Amino acid sequence: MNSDDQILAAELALGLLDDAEHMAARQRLLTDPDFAAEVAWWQDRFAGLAEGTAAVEPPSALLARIQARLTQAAPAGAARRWNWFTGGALTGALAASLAALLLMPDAKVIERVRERVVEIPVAAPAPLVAVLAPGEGTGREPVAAVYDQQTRTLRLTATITVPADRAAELWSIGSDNVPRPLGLLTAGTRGAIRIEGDMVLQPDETIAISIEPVGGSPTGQPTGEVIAAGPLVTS
Amino acid sequence: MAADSDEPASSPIASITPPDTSGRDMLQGALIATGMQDQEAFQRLYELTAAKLFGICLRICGEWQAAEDVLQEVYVIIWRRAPSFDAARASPVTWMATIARNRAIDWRRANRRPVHDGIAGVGQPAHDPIDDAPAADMAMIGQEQVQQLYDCLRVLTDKARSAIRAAFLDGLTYSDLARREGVPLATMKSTVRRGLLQLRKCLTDEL
Repeated sequence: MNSDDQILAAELALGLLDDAEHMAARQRLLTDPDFAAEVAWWQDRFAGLAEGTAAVEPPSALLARIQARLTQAAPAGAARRWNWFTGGALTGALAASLAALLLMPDAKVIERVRERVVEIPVAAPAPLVAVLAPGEGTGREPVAAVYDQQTRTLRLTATITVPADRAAELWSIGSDNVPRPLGLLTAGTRGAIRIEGDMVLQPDETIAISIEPVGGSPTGQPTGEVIAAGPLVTS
Repeated sequence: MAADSDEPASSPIASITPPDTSGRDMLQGALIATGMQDQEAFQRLYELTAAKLFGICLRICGEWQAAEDVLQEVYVIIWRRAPSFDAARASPVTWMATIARNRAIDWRRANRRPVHDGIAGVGQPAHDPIDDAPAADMAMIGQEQVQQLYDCLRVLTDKARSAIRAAFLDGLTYSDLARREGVPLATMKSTVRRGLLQLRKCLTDEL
């Protein structure tokens, strides 16, 4: 790792970069394990500086409010495994259209979801949305993603095309800057992706889709091209 | 090397101060149990860390209400993500403080807050910790490592050190820092980058 990358890691750990650079550096956490390790190293080193921040007691009612949010959002049936789909292997075609993710015809999806929220009881958490920018030179269009925190489903506004002998895998990086695989986007599935088990997307996550061997990345890190990535935000 | 190992250590074992790991162990236990959906452990974890994390959120957000909102979200994230906490990768307090800092910084970025002076008297250190020995309240991180960081920060120029501290503590970006100091962005960047290089070298030097 050269010294520019070491400095970039420190800049990300400190939060020095402007929005676009910050986002690009976070996405690199997914594709570059050495860089991710360097960021973790800096975070650990800088942690001592937190002593410069005085502790302040939060209002006493806060814990109860947090606990209420946890019970409200408790998963139904906490299966540890997660299989999004039982789709079979891709066969034949040069390219398979991954409908995975459903097919809302236009980018108005975000607006519509927002409207619908009005009708849901006040306590319902708002959907999280992300605009996934295409990787440089991939020649792809941006894709919008909408994650429903209650049903734990993720919808994309466009179809993602991958080569027949490859699979698309979804990743996330949370505010702890640790990359995690979320699962494969399997061909032939219609409708929303449901995330099973205890994996839940959080409003602090940046999500990304990479092209991997069938069966998913063998390393726990993206090994192929990252075709789309962007931060989730509360809608 | 074999000959060396026959030599007695220069100081008897008994006189070596054991690292203070009790705080860290307690926190780690609470965090791991939280990862197994143990609500009492979560409450313990909250009680051990909430004031620290709230101080971080408050200082970076600069607004009481925002800091409360961010803190709630931070603990929800901690609860949900505790199962994947990796003790080999980060200490519990570093992991939690990183989430709090980054969420507060994201809030600032999303809300486009100008550089603030903090809430008077709140979230500010009582002293410049760089000039003092590190306080003991974060023994959970490892006193030696904290001391080394402070020693190395002293090697930097005042400008670089103060910028790095402000970036960490107040969540300021290069642009914020340049505006605050009234210097061009490029100047601020090169000051800080030189400082970071120096800092890394100092922190990784074998002593």
